Amino acid sequence: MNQSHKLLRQVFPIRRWWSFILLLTASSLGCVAEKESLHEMDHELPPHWPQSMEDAAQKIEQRLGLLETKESLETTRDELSDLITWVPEVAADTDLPELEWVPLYELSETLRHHLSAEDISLSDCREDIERFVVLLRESHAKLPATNTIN
Amino acid sequence: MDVMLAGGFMRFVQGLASAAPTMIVGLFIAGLLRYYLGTAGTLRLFGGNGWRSLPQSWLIGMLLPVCSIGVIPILREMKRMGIRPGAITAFALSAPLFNPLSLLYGLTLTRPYVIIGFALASLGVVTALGMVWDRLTSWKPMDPPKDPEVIGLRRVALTFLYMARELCGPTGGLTVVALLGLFLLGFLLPHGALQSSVEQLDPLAPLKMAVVAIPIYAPPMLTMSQLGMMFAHGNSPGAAFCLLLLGTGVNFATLWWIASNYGIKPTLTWFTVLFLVIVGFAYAVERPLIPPGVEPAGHTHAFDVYTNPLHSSQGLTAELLFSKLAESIGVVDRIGVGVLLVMAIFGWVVRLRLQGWMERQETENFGATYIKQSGWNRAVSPRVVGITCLAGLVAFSVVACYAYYPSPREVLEEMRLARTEVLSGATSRDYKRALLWIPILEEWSRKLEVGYALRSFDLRPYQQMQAHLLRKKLELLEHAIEHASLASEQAKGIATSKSEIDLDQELREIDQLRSEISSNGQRLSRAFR
Repeated sequence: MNQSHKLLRQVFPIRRWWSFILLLTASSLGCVAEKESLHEMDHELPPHWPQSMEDAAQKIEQRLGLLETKESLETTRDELSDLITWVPEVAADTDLPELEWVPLYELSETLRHHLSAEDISLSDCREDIERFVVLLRESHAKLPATNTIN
Repeated sequence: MDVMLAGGFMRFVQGLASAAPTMIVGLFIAGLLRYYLGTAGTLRLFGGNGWRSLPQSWLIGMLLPVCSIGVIPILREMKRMGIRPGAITAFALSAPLFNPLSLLYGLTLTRPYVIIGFALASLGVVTALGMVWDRLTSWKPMDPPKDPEVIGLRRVALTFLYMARELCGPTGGLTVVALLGLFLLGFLLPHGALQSSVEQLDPLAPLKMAVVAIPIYAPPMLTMSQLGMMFAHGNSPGAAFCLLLLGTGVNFATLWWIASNYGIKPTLTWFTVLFLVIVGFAYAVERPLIPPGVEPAGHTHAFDVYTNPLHSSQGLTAELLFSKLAESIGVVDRIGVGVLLVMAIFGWVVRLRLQGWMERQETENFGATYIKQSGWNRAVSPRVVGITCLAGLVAFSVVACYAYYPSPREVLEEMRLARTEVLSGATSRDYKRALLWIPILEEWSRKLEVGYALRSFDLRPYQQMQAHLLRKKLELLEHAIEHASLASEQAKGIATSKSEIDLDQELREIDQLRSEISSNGQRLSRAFR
């Protein structure tokens, strides 16, 4: 503790040091404002978030079609990648049994990996994506009629 | 101003409560090093004075369940025994980061290699820093201090007296310094601020986090749950790394202790290097570690626990403060605070009455006088007893993992009860009840995953996905309930058609989420049974 007392006696450097930290903290928090509630900020769903597996299949086909005509290439490709990545979540939110969910998940993971790594061209993946769409439709058809919203 | 002070005070008390269990463990380990392992044993435990001491100190730190406050009495003992400064700082930084409980928890938060990568990166940082620190302090081996030679029950008593005396002395003082950081944040940061400060790919996010993390004191499990929230909200992975290393590893007391023992200038240089290495690494991992498929939420709740818990418009009463504190402090932490209080009172008595007795016991030689070797009554060296205690502590952590993360069957039953509370709260519009139980259900969902993985050494993607869906829906429900409450207030004040439509929309969303959470419950049970 004697060392601590010595430190206390050197008031100036400590003040400078603490002021520096305070200044940094305050300057980095310039944008902070009080919130009315801790949950006032919403979770916005992206506009291309699929409502169901059937919806996902349609949206993926749509993007594939657009990519053929080379319209807004980058955004469309990103959206296609998003849709493929989101499918396991959308499918898990239905009564699809785990055994039927796994092939969807595995194909989605493989496609996501290739699309993000860009190690295979989109035209080479096309067949797999189309197979993925077929699998999605088949899975969707197996759901009870009441469970088609999600 | 009153709300700011009260908010700071609340954060201080909450910090003390969360530090209590790991602080007691830290004091116990320091006592073991002093009276059982002794200087030679401790030196060997931390890898001697060679190059091995840096990674070995990191490894020992990873195994022992202490936080950045609990580590302080251990650092003091290590310094007294003349252990090299690099090893001391390596231990100081790594011990609070992970322990077996938090590491298991962390592995379920995101892809496991991210957490393992964070752990290995911390090894790189502490090794590099340790080497810099040894040079800065121009350390040379010194003559080891004389170890107390007391044995038997007297040694057990001395260990506990030492723990109490430390608590009511330098360690207690440094604990207050550490918690002042939380007071400062609670005082300065308004309610819910920082929610949008660490967005993914925000070029300033890691830097902002690194600065805010300096005054933060966070026990390892809290940091892990914050990392989980950051990954779930798609926040900046680099900022998460800064929070882990600077928020959990360092606090004001660590810096104070290092500066008071090794000087201000070397400490500033050391800390600047530490800061730059961590921030540099954070920027390097920012892009590669972005979790795939997670849509950035545009905000995070990970730092709500550091901002003022009170809203400026809230009427401040002692009852409100007490109820908010009671809500936020769990049973284990309350017991910990109780034990700390008893120890502090006892420590005060030790300082006033028993100081001389303790010093006599430590300096006089009682050793060989009452060792009788017959049958099971064998003389065992203090080092063997000390190592056994430390190994016992690690074994206890492993057993604690199984107790803290019960079997899926038990967890599913607890989840069923918590889900009933959430859903009935949402149905009956008793939102306070629903909001109280949502975090409890979220925590059980994490325990379900870890408990299953611990027992089956496997966690299937489908199981992870169902648990993720539950947490996502619970968070959406939390938001919808908050919005419904606000819309309801507005509708009561000025009943316009817009406010009524808003309220109607929120109520419909709550009903929809209620039904989805209920369906998820069945899928979750099927997946984990």
